[in-house]
Formats: sequence, C-alpha cells, structure tokens
Amino acid sequence: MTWLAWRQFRARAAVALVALAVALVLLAVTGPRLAHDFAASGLPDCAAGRETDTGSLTCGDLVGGFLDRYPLVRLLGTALIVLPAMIGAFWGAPLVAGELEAGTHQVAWVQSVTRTRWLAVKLSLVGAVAVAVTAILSLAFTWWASSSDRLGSRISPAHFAQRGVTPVAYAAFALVLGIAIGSVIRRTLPAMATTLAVFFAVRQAVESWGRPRILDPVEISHPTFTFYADEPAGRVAADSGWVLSTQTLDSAGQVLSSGGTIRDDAAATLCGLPTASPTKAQLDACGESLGLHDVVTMFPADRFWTLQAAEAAIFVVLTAAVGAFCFWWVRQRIG
Amino acid sequence: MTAAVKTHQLSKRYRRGRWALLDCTLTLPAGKVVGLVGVNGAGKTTLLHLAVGLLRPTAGTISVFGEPPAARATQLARIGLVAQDAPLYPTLTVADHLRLGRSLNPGWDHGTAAARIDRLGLDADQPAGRLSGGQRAQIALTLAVAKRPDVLVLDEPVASLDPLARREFLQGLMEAVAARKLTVVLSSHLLSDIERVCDHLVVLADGRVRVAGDVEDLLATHKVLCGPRRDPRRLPADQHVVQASHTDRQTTLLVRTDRPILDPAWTVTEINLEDLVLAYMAAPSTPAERPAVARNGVQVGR
Amino acid sequence: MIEFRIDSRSGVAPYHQLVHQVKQALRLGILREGDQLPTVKEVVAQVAINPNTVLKAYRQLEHEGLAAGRPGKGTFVTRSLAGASLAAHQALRQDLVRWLTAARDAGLDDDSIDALFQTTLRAGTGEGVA
Repeated sequence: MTWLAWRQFRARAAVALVALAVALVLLAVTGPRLAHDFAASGLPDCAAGRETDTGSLTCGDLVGGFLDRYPLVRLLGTALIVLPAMIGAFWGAPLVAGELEAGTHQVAWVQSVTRTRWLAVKLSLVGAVAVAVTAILSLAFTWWASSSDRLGSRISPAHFAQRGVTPVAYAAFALVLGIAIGSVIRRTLPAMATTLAVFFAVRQAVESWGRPRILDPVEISHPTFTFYADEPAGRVAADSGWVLSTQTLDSAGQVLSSGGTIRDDAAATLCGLPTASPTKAQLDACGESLGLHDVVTMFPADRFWTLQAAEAAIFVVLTAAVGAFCFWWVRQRIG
Repeated sequence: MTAAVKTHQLSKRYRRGRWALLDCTLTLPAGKVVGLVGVNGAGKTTLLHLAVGLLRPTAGTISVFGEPPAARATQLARIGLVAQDAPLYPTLTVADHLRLGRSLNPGWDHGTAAARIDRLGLDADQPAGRLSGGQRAQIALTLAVAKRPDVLVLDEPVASLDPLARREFLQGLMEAVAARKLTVVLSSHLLSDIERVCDHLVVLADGRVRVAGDVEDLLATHKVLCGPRRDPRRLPADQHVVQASHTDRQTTLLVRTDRPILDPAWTVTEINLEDLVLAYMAAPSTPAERPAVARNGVQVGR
Repeated sequence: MIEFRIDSRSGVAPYHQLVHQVKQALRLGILREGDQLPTVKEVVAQVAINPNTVLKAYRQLEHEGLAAGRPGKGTFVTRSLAGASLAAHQALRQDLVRWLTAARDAGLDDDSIDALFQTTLRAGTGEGVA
C-alpha cells in the first residue's frame, strides 16, 4: 500500500520539493545580508529601547523603511501563509474526490486492503511530507527574519502565521479538511474551492476570536503624547508586540479616546485653553492636570512562543477531529 | 452445494429516493458462471457493487461465503471486480498496475499475471490511459484474476468492446474459470454471450429478481403452450404462467412447471434462453396483473 | 489435434456440438485411438464457452465408451469409429472427385448434386445395401 500511495503522490511531492529547494536557496543567499544591514542601520538601538543616532530619522521611520527594502520577505511570507491552503486544496481535496470522480475507487477498494487502511497509509504519507515541507520552510523563514523580528512584530497577526510552528499546524489541518470536503462533495474542483474558502474562514475565526482569548493579555500604562509631540523612543520598544487596543484615559479612568494620542484641540477644550494654537508647555501642563495616560492592551513580544504553542494546539485538536470524521465518512458513508 | 453469494431481502436506495434494488433473495451457487441480465437501470450494477462491498445495503443482507463482503481484508481478498468500462489509473503503466496488484494482495499470483500480459502482447511501460478499450478490459481482468479471488464479479465487461476484443476477453475469462474453481457473476445485456458462458441465470427488472436458476433447469421447466383460446387462470395450480398472449381464437402461454403437460389441447414446445429472458424481463411481477395482450405485442412490466 | 467450433445459431446445444465434432473426427481418422483430446483449458481458450460444457461433453464421450480420462494426464480416445479401413477413404475420395466432375460436366449445380446424393443415400439405406 505504501508503494501505491507514493506512486500516486510522487509528482506532487517532487513539485513541492523543488519549490522548497528554491525557497531555501533564496533565503540562504539573502539571509546574511539582511542581518548585516540590520546591524548597520541603527535599528538594534530601537529594538533595545534607546533612541537612534542616525540623524533625523526616528525609530518609527527606520522600521518602515527597512522592511521595504526586502520585497522578497513579503513574497516568501505570503507563500508561507498560502502554503497550508495549497496543501489542503491540491493534496487533500483530490485524495478521495479524485478517485471517486475517475471511478478508480472501483479498483482501489476491491484489493485486499480495507478502506481504513487505504486512507491511513495515504494520509500518513502525504501528511508527513506536508508537515516536513512546511516545517522546514517555516523554520528557515523564522531564522531568516530573526534579526528584524527583534523589533517585535512577529507576534502581530500579519506575521504570526508566517513564523514558528503555526504554519505546520495549519498545513495538517488544511490537509485533513481537504480530504474531508473532497469525500463529501466527491468532485475535485468544487472540493478544492470549498477547501480554500473554509480553511481561510476557520483561520480567520481562530485569529479574531480564539487567539486573543487563549492567554491573558498584558495592560501597560504610558504617559499620553499629544498630536504635535514626537513618539518617544522608548515607546517603540515598549509597544513591540501585538497591540490589541490602546485607550487614552484620564485620572478617573474615563476613556477619552482610543488610538494612543489625543487631539490637541480636544485637550485644549478640556483644560480651558485657547484651541487655536496652544503651546507645547500648555498642552503638557494640561495633560498632567487631567492625569492623561494611555493604557495599551497587548501581548508583548516575549509571549510569542507561548501563543504559538497555544494556537498550534487548537489546530492540532481540529485536525484530529476532522481526521476522525474522514475515516468515519470514507468507511461508512461512501456507498 | 455451497452458496458463493447469498442475499436475503436485499434492498438499496440511493439519496434521490428511488429503490435501485428491492427485496432480492438469491443464492448463487459456488463454481458456476452466473449471468445477470436486465436492461439499463434494472439494478445490475447495484447488486454487483453490493457483492464486493462498494455499496452498503439499505435493508436486508448479503454475504459472500457466509460473511459480509468487505468486512475485513481477508474477505476483500475473496472477491475480484472488473467494473464497468474497466477503470484504470491513466498515468500508471501496465507494469505499475501489476505492481499495484502485487503490493495490495497477499494472494497475488504474479506468474499468471505476467504470463497473461505477455500473451496479450502488451507493452509493460505503456500508460493505461493510452490503451484501447479491449486492452484496458484485459488488464482489469488480469488484475482481478491474479489476486486469486473466490468470486469474480464483472459489470458489463464487454459492452463497449468490438467483436474481436469481446471474444478475446471471454476466452481469457473462461480460461481463468477452467484454471481454478472460481465463481463468476457477470452482468450483460448481450444474450448470445450469456448463452455461451453462463450456466446459472438471474433476470432483474425494476430492481427486483424475476427469475433465478440453473440454465439447464430453467430451460427444462419452461414450456411454450399453444392452443385454442383459454383463460390462463383456469390452468392447474402447478403450472405458473409467465407470459400470456391471445388472439380472438388462439392462446399462447409460457409456463413454468415441474410436471409434464397432460392436456392434449396444447401444442408444447421448448423455449430458448433468449425468449425466456425476454419473457421475464417483460412480465409484471405478481400473477394478478396479467392483462390480455395482442398476439404480437408484449406487455411492458412496471 | 482437433479444433472445435461452436455455432451459437444452430439451435443445437454446445455440448452436443462438441460430442458430434469429436465423433466426426473419429470417423474421418483425424482422431485415432490413444490420441489426447484438448484439455478443458485449451478448448475454452479457443472457443469462449463455459468449461462445464466441455466437461459435460467429455463425460458423454466417456459414457459412450469413446474416451477415458486419466487423472493428472488428460482425456484420451479409447475407440475409433472409422468402420472401413482408412486407406479405403483415400480411394473413395478420389472416386468421389471423379463423379463430382462428371456431374458438373453434365450441368448439375450444387443443390441438384446434393438432392441426387441424399435421395440415393436414403433409397440405398431402405434397400439394405451393404
């Protein structure tokens, strides 16, 4: 049975391995350069919470500019987000649906192997390759982006799915999801489309609803800075992580704005200052008198691996559930 | 005699609600070549797929040598299938298909398989997608036979083949039957083939079994009676009327009976297999529904 | 070795046809005492019929004393049906060819020749000609 599973899968595996090799070569070639540029840019200071000494550019400017120089980052990052979905659609959906559509289940399921064993061997083989390919790519990418990740953005939703172990858990889930949908719909193309849609819907649901609730976020208090003031250096480092919400509160705990700053004219009104052009000194005094402070609800960067493990666990449970469904459906409900 | 396949009130209904097979009770004896006859949609494929475990009964039971068909790997080893249109994996070569058989069946007889492929003159490296219909049918037959099943099921294996390919397929099939004790269940609507190769017959119509039995026995017990116009219901109880047709003065009946026909008014003739099958395919299922028909007409059954 | 042919349209059961063809072969000397009949497998590979039909035909021949099965070896002819010596067949065949030529020269077509032969044959039988 292993021979047959491999024989039917080998073309797809070859494509994946070639693509993986290309990606690894690109990462290997550009990785050292990225690390060197990072060290030379003054960003390490930003990461450590100190202000930079690169002249007129602030940490905020530097962060944005740095990542723009590596469009490849974005491309491979996107590839890593898309990879689990592709595995679900191209490896999972046709596994059962393809056989039913072509009628070859009338060959496969009358040999001396039960459907359960047939599915188990195929799933194990494809699953092992899927997990290995995704794990290698994710590991390589996490290493590659490790220097710029010191800026703390990897825990944010944009990057969370392109690092660490979550892509592997997504890939396993997408695979069994594809198999399940293919087994129910019985036609390959509709199954592929449905798998993509359902996969991303589930991922989005977990990201929006599940991930913020698995662990407790941290609440940090900062002094507010007004519209004309510069973002203090320490703020970039302190806010590195995944910010869930920022609220400006007064000393009584009332929410005055959400967003991390308060408009100068609004502050002036509250303090009874002229709204036309209050001075910085006036605004600072106003802020102090009101007791303005920001409360940032966030997951700090150092919670990255804990959050990764938790989300991966959610998807492992989902994978097990959908996987069990596949076996039941194929054995009992087809025919 | 051992029963190779036994069904008891076997019924199958698909999701759309039509009963594809209803209340089928059959005993197919081991070692025979069973012909399964019926029009398209009569339930032949359904019955065959139930016998190999590709379908599950909605009601009733089916067993192959005493156990459900696909319960375990050992049960699956006892059946072989040549499905309709002989599906194969288009990108796998002939050799790959043999390898498939070998790796999935502990009972695989590679010598027989390789010898058959050799004799057929097939190129082992040819992808199955590029073979002709006759060649694909032969590969499918090789796959099914070389796993050494006890029951070989074939779903209209020669329906789309040219006459030469058809003859060669049947020759190969009969050779396999002669080589080892094999029960064959073969569906076809080509009665000439059924007559050549089958010694047991099952006629299906509208999902029900109309008649089943050894061909010799069926031909011996069915008689065509021709005589002056008579009401079929007035016949002795042991003469079951299968089909009746009347003109204003004459009645022609097909009856099934174990006893000789004693009434001198009847002219008794034998029936051939084709006419017997046609009569059962056309007849309604219960004795009460037997209206009179024109001499050359045939009542279409429900 | 004898080669069988089945005519599915003749109305004669296949096993009868096989028995008949064996007997014809015996009469014409194609099969002689001690010759092996084709195995069941060989017959069905040639003519796609049910192996049981062949077995039945062979059993019928055994029953009539014309053949006998030897376990593990096959089925063998035990008696010949060639009444007159086979050498006579050759001479008779030559006479027949000469007569046919004469008949055709006289203007008879195949059907007329056949009719003449059949009526003479039957009349001869009726008179008890040796």
